Amino acid sequence: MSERFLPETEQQALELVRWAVAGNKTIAIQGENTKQGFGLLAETDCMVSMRNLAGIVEYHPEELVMQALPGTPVEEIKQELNKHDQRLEFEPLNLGRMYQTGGEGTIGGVFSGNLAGPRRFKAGSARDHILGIKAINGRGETCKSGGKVIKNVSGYDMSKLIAGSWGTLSVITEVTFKVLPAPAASATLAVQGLSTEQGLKLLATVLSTPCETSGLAYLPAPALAAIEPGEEPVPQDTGSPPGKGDSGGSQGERDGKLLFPDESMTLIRLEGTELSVNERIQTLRKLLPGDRKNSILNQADTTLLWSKIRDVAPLHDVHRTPAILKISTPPTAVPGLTRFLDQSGGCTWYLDAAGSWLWVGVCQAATADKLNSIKREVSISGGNATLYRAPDAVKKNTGIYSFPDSSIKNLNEKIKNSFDPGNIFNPDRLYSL
Amino acid sequence: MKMPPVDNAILQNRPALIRQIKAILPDECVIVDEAALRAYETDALTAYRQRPMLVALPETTAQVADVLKLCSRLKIKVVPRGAGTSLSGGALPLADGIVLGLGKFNKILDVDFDNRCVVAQSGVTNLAISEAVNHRGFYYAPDPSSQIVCTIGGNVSANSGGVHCLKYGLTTNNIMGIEMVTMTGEILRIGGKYLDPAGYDLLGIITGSEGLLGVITEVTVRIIQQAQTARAMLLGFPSNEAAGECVAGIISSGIIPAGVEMMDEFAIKASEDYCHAGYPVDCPALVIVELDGQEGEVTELIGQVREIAENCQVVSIQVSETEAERQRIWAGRKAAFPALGDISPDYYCMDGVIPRRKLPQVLTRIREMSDQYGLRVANVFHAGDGNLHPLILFDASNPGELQKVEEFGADILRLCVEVGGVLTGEHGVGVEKRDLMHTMFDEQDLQQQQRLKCVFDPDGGLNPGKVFPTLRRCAELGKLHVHKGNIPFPDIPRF
Repeated sequence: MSERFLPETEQQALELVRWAVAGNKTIAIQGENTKQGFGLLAETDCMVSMRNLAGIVEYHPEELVMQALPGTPVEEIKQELNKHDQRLEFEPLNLGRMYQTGGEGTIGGVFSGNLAGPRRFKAGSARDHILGIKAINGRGETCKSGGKVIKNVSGYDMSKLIAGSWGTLSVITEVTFKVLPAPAASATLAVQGLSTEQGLKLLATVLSTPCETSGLAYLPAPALAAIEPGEEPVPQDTGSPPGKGDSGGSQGERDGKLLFPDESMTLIRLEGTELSVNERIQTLRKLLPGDRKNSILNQADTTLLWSKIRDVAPLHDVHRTPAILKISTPPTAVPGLTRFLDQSGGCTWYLDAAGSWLWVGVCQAATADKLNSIKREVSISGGNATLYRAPDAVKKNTGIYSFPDSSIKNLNEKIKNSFDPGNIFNPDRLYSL
Repeated sequence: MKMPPVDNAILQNRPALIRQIKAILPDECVIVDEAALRAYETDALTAYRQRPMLVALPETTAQVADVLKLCSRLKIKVVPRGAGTSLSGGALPLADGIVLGLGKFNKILDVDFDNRCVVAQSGVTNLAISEAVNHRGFYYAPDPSSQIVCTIGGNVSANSGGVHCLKYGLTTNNIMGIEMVTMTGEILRIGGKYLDPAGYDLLGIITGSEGLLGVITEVTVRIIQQAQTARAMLLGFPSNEAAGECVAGIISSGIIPAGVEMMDEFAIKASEDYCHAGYPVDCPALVIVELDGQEGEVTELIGQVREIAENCQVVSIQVSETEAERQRIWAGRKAAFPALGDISPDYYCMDGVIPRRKLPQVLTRIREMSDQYGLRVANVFHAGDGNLHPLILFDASNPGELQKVEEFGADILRLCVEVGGVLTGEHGVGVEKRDLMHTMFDEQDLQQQQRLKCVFDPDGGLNPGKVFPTLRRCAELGKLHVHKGNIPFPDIPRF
């Protein structure tokens, strides 16, 4: 059993790393350990949890800036932002369900994983909101980057490298990030029964209008059916206006079983002032194919539905879909990819981020061969696939990332080496050296 | 400004170098004569000048790679250059180096509306990208004020912003992929027409790296739809404090304007004298707020901003009703720089960033310093994101005045860092702020940054003398220094 440490100060964390460097000991870095399902977790000499180095250091709502220690629970951050009607615009997905660890984890984890959500195509991911970072590299030295203001080009943007490094470059000891106002109203326009091509075409049409949207997803019937029952929103038949005071007064029956109709849903989320959301819904409704049923989801249902999409709920069931790939792709490559998935069988998939993300759950026969065949298809079509969940043996065979070529992989290895020459932080988590 | 030592042996080999470069590039792509080289001896920071050995203007990525391989082999320093609009001396040549100009990389390669992106060669201007897509209502969001001439490759190197970046982000938030050639001649393709490239965020580290990591030859940018409507408000205030309070009030109320600009009394008067935009010249502070979105929404927001302004002692309010009026409100702001150029032989534009709440304090201090130095200062401020542009007026023909201006400028930037801000918001470090990097970063911070430089350019041949105050050898940076090995820390809790 490796030794487990809970540093409470930056200094303690620094001492720990220096001790590890001197003794060439490997360290697993974690917050609340909610995302250990990502990558390969090797046996290490010791574990360090940053959850006791916690708390919001500075928050100035009018400056749109928050600074927090890495162990601060995401929940606490959200609550504090909520008090000032602000939010994390990048809508980080909660991996707690995917990895069956429950919680949402710490803010350090959110940035380490460069998490994002359905707003990705518009608002970016965690890396787009990080402003500054303090960290300890694998040499036992502190290194900071960025600042506490929302515009800064002083030196390399090293914070962005650390975002998405999954604890393989450094131990984060403080993070500063941009926050934004939460809009007063939201609603979802849901269109039933479109084919993948038709759904994508509709999403592209919506993006060619000035009607700013903050969520564009396409869920085929099997993905909808895989969302665990109980609390799914029911599409309303007619469009009543969305808004704050509208507390789930859906006109459809909510019997706990009825989910969506047994056909695909193309989903369009709008956020903003109540007036603006209504204006845009009316404009967009005119663009919809006349022969398909459409409905409007109110604010409460919108929040619930998009949290399911964000958290990859259609693929949660680990027995049904033990392996999960997130494919980042040009939207025009999606019809070819989904045809391949459907023909080869055994996959549940849906589209998020305006068709730029294809989440794929691979069923029981989630062998390395199967995943590799999908990854090959993805690389031919000009995108890349990240393995979010799979049995360890499969992860080892297929790798977590699909690097486009060896030069990019090489650069990754050199960057790792520049921060952590002894390969002591989360060794082999992302790829083996 | 101290630049890396000149290697005389390399200077003496210039004729051989010219022959070797001409073996790679057509004759017309190699500039060697003194008069023509003069056009490249400076960028938009004209206080610094240096003629390079030659200027290479390759036409293909393969040529870029060959030129870099050659220079790498011969240990010749290379300064990449787009349109030369850097305000921090990022493209300042070196006496014993060559300038690698990307001016011939001027083609838009792919306009892809279905995937909402444009693929352009790196020498395409920022504005040309928006012009290529605006017939369908799209545009490329970052709009630095030099957008008519500055190149997209230069934008990536500088992580350029613009007046709309509070709402729409900087270059780093709006690009999807690049093609880049490293100093060793390796051609890298990073990202593409998709989000989230695999592995560490290489795009993130290259964007804003000021031409020290590679030569960018192609960029894939994200395009978005223009808002249905945009309207501008011009608000006059009795003090900088009241103006600052109004901006804070707008943002606290949940409104993110498309742009928020502030001007101080001196800037207002100079601009109004110059272009007669109808600015209230008796106001000590002006705020321009641009709101965009759906028509009804914009009208609603204008009402809210008016109310906030009225609670902050606003003394003058103009709201654009037509596109022409919106343009007129912006015209005064856009004229601020030329207006100051008109009343003073020279001006020096600074680029600090501060937490917005510190603005009154910072402006007061700048005023005091202005008296001490005996140099006039006008302030324009991207108030939404705290980016302050003090413009110091001077006359370079007065002996010693430029040096005094630089000292004043450095004092302003130290003040920005002291109040919790940073050295540069959008102009870059370049040579201009290189020696101030220690005010923000300690030696260990800078060494880790320089190790990243080593990842891409182990011999340090690309744009040396910029960004980092001290040149270091990669072998020295790579050494692992073990701090201490005694275990235990009984005081650290276990779990």
